[in-house]
Amino acid sequence: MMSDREKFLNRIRTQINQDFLPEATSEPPAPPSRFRPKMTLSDRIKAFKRELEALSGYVYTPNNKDEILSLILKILHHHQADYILAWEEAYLELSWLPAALQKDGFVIETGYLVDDPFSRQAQLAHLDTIQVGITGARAALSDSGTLVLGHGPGRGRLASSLPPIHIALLTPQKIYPSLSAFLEADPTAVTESSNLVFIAGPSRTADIEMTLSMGVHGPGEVHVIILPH
Amino acid sequence: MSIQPITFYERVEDALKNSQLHEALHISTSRLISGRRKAMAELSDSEALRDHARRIRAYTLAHLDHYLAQFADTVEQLGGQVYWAETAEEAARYVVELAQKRGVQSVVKSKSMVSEELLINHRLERAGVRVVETDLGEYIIQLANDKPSHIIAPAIHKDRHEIAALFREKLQATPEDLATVPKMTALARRTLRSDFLRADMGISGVNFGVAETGTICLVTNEGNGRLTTTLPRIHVALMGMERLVPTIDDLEVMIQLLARSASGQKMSVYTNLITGPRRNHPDSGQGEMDGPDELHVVLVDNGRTRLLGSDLAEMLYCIRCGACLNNCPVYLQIGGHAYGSVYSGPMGAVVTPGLFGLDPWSELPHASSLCGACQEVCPVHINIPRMLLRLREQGVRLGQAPSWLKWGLRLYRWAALHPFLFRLGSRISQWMTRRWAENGWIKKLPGPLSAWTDHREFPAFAEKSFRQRWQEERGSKYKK
Repeated sequence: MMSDREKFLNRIRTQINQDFLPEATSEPPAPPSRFRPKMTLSDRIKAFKRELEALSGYVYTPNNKDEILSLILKILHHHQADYILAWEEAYLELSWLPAALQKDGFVIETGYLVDDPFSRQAQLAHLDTIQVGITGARAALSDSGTLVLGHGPGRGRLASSLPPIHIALLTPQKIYPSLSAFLEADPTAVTESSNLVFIAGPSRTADIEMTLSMGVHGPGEVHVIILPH
Repeated sequence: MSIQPITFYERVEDALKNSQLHEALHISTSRLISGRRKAMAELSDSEALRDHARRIRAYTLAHLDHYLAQFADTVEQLGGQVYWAETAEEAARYVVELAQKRGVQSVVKSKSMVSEELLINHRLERAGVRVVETDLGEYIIQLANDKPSHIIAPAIHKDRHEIAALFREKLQATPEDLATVPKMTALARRTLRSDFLRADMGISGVNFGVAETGTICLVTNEGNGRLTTTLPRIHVALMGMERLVPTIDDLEVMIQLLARSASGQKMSVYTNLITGPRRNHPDSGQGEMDGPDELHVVLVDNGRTRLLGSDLAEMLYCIRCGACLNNCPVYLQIGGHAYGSVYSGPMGAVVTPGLFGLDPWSELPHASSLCGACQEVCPVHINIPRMLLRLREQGVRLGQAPSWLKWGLRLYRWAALHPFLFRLGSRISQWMTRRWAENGWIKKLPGPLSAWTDHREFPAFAEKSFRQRWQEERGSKYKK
């Protein structure tokens, strides 16, 4: 007995006809040489900021720890947040941040989803009330204002997808000029965990008369804090 | 496939009279067209990239058995399950049985064209499972009990007043909820959020599968794709078997072109790369925070192998960006519903008869003026006009040409082979058309010819025929 898989693949094998795919090569096609502008660090920061702001994202370049903290507190107060859904401190570019926020009275959740179905329902109902998520960033792409978030232990997907406000901390050296440059520099990013996501600005839809609305499912506000280098 | 109560030509008639549809399509497509043009122009090497993408698609299809096997092996090594479905029924049955086995009560879905082929919503609902579409456009379509009319903007045919009325009726929306489009969007977010939180299963499509890593790439702007593949315990990814690229580098090329061609964005808001289900990372002694415990990839053939083995194989290069719809003068006049299939526009006019058979869909290849705009804007330069002609030819071979056309062409052939008759015929039609024309255009032709003038004018023949001019020109040259 042939398995479904063998039957499926056999059907394909017998149908593939080079005559109908005249351009198909026997070896993988070689990529064309791509134009890669040489960019300094400050060029990349500037370009990233310009692109993300064009998508209605917010980009900050604070100079020191105090400025960073007051910036984050301002966003939290503005949204009257009391709980925060955040990555664990080991994965945040600022390991002092969770403790500092806790000292100011904020409660930090990491969003580790539990197994038991009943507790999970209650857990999700609670996480859904949280206004602000804080994450690090594995990288960013300056040509499109894109954040790259790698998930894994201590770094959940929900912090950047469930709350209406997303704050990301970004080390400037991790800003790459393009997606292809990032993939070349960080080849294991895709396979290291079950999820890698590229985020270009706040959640948006234009499904009603092509009128832009923000925050339809994901965060309607994206704040990126570029750390001092 | 969907059974249409009325014929293609009746649907077209209705659409041509629907001025609200034309207005809605005009607003939406003109933005999509200019956005695409601008985004492609920003690429310094867009032509080289498009050519490369085309070569990747051709190469992948020529080695599809190899890369599908590699993809499936990798997904399974990561702990995912792969189901091979020859037909839409097999695929749907697998999903329904899985839902029943796991006691699934409610499902959230992110937009997927292949799921429309499976009629999966209908089949799950019949099994007592609640299904909620979460892409805003698809949600509107579901509430209205309608069908998508565009592959990337499913509710493109509806204006805000229709949608407001729908929200009032189905969601008990208050006037405050409906005051602006962002407020309507916020209402949809609140309503759909509760569905996300309680869903037991998430169903998504697949924009691209990557063979070397077993990765599923899912692109959305709203973020519903992320929630669909993160919150429920079970993720089912429905994947047309041709949606595959060999490597991550190939994926990068496709991502660049898809977002720019579809909506004029440099990157879609969320380009989500899913590589297996939620993992335990034993070395760190800690598991991943969230994500589905189970991942099922359903590979769907449903007629694609037949396409692969035909001279329509090139249609499988398609990356479903929708640019050919937006740029098609016929689509703009008749909208997506007139096509009667889940795939509309130029790509739909080839994909639909290609996947589901020419016999029930023989009119679709005629829904084109063969102007070539589709081929020009296609990110992988698919020669759609060639395939439309090929399908028309096959239709004639199947005996689908009306008898008046066959006899008319026979008559023409006979006349054209006799110079005297041809000259006489062209003189008569010259004289007749000029007699009927006003300012060079005929508003109404008699008898069966009125089929042409019902919706458009017919040009009067030129004062002098080509033959007449040729003789005069040649004569004057000899005189010199």
